[in-house]
Amino acid sequence: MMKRRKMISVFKWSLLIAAAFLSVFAFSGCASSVSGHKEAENIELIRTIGIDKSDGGVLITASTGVGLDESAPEIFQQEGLTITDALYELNKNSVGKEAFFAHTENIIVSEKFAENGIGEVLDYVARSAEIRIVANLYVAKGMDASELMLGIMSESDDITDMLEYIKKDASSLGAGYATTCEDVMKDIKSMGCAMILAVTGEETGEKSNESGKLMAVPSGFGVIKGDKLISYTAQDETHGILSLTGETEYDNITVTDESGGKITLGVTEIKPSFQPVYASNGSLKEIIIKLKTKADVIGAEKYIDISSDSIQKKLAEKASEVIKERAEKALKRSQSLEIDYMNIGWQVEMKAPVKFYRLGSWQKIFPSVKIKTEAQSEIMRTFDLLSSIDYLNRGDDDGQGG
Amino acid sequence: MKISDILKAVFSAIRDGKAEEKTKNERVSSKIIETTFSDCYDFEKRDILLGGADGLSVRMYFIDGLISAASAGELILKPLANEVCFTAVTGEKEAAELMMGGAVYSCTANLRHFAEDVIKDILNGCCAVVLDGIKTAVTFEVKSTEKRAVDQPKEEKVVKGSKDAFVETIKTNSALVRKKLKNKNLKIRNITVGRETNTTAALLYIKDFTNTDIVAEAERRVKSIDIDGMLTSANIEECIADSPKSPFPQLINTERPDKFCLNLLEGRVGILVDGLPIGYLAPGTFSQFLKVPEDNAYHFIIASCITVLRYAAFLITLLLPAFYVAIVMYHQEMIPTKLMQSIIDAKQSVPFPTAFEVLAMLIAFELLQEAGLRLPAPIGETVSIIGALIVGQSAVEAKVVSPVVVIVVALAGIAGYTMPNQDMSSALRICRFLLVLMAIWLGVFGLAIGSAVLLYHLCTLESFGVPYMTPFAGTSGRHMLRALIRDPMAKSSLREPALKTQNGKSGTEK
Repeated sequence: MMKRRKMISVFKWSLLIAAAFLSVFAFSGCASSVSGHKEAENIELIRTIGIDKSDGGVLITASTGVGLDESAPEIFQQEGLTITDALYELNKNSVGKEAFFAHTENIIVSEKFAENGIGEVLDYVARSAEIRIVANLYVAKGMDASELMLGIMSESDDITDMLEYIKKDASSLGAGYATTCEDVMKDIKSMGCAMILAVTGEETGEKSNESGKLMAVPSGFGVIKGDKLISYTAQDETHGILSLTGETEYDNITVTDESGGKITLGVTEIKPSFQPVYASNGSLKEIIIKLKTKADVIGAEKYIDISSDSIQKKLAEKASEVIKERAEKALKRSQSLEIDYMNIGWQVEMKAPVKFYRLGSWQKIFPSVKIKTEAQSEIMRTFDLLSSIDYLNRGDDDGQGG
Repeated sequence: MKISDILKAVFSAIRDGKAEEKTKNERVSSKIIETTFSDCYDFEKRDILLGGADGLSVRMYFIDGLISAASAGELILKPLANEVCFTAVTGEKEAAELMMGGAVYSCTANLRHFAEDVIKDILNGCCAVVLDGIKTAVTFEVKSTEKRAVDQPKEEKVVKGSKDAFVETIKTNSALVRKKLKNKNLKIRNITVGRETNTTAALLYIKDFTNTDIVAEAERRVKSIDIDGMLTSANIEECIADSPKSPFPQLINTERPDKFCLNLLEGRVGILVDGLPIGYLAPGTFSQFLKVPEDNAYHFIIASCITVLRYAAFLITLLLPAFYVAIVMYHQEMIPTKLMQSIIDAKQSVPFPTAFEVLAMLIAFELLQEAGLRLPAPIGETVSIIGALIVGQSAVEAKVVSPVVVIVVALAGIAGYTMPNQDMSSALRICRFLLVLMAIWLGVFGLAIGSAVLLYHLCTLESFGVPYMTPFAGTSGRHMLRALIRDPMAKSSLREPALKTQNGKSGTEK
């Protein structure tokens, strides 16, 4: 009896250990981890990759970023027939250590490369075991990626840090928002188009030498149709896109009052809502887009009585006008390019899916569909600061203190 | 050694064996006692004339040092020699009756007919008065009172609780328990263990609610201990544990009577062994090894937070070094970029691979710990400080090890110190090494396999019929939460369900 129990116990243990070992190899791609490992000191972290068209095929520019101890960034360049080839050669020839791409946060493609199609980039990212699919994808507007990266690089500056700031602040500056390779892949698959944040190099004027003369700035969206870059959005259109996609984090609007004084409003929230109107025969009559906005008065050239209802109403009307105008420009551009990169179709579909499917091809309908935009603004923080200062001053005069 | 010597030794052993066998069934006689204790320097005998010069002659035996000479003289010799009642004694039977009837002042008197019993009594600190004529002896307990005083616990630090600790004397220990549990249902059963040492052990339980099956099983196991001597803690732990090959402790041991009593109240069985200043409690379950009596002394929110912290420390001490090795060697993509940069910078000038670094640091840590334990307290502390501060810092400055590895190993070590039970802490140290080796071999998958095997092992363990991982396995989620979060005392009404106590409720709802 004891012997039998012992045998069962041994069998159970053997089975467990065998199952555990087999499970290692069952995970796709993980068998490679059994074969070897990397020592940390032999790794060179590549944080930004630039991809350009070159005579030989593809030119890869890889940057390590500024070190934690403020050490100067390193940039490696390598040409190859394809992206894979160039990266392989880069590892073999240019980088002393093993280039490690799992921490690559940014991929910049040049305008020329993007015009020829970003499919190869997306394909490589999707298949690579190292590069993360959530790496941000940018297009270098009007220049090569290497030109931008080398132009920015100095002992203390690098494209990686600048893109980090752009990623954080672009949306609040009304200059667009960063998209990941995954976002772009999904958009191309579902809509046949996508938007990529465009960055360009602006001369700083502070440095005379070749390196460090540029600063990366966001410059709207690059519009991708199929997998090719076909256009860029203008500033107003970019603001409009942010409003229509609900991505506005913060925006400034400057309006003029009746006396000609300029008033700056800080837009803190824009909530879009979509209402498709269907005709009795099932066709789409129009789409009504309502943009509900909240804004604060953040600066006025002359004194205005913010607490006055009539002034608030006028300010709200003017803000609505600007927001409406920007949204209309964005929609008009999208319709003129005959691609729905703001994904208006999905919003319409969500309201009445069955009716939407009966419409047929959205790509064909979208360019000619009538879209009516309405904006409704509300002015917040209407406390009259000047009158309170006046009150406080009076308090001091009376000797009562603040 | 010559053949003749070997044969002599064999015959001698057979003879001794036979002699031993003989004493078990043989009636008491002075000759047997004296033969048994021949060549014993501390064995003493004394002839006494009962009631004075004309009285009956009897012989008293005892072991010098085990008895209190003053007590023996006052309580036994004086009445035997001076009491008037003994002068009229005509026979040994009458003398024995008088001794048992109170003519001798010793509190404990036993009438023994067999030599084996008398020998045991003598070894337990009794004086034996042998009456050869009727082949009977009367033994009186006059144990030496020399013992260590009850002191503060040395191993289990008390922050907010009673400051007494068990000592080496079983009766003092049982008295400490009795003082805390003034309950008529607290039962203490006496068992003798150890073939050669004849050590006294006691089984303690509260009759009202302790599961009778656990009591019976504990008694059976203690009685079935068949070893030469019961001198160390491991003797009892390994002899009565369900899985002695497992490094994980299966008996709760404590030097604190308050913890001992709390567990008796929970429905556990306690075991005290003469000569060991430790109390044992069965069944020992995993969650109990992460509890301290202070958990009941603090506010329930604080106690719960500390318990959760202790479980976190358990995971840190067990997994952190292995996890570090796995991700730094195989899964660098899992590490946040800034941290990875920091690790790379720290490793730049270190000549050794990560695996060697971590293993070497773990071994160095173990050496320091062992050195600190074995040396006298002031030197031990100095060694620890020198080791941790100077050697560690120097190693980092000399770029022999990277600072991250020092932090990881030190964190794991410090987390290990939070374990209330040293045996559990030691088991974790062994497992930590094994998991690091698995991580070196297969990365996170190795760690996952190692952890799964460890979990499997823990889940298959049982202690006196109770699953070791209870309440994390085999009970509902509600009870699982109880291991981590303590209810307020007023609402804490349930005993641990896995113990299957006769009365499952405690506290106010009893």
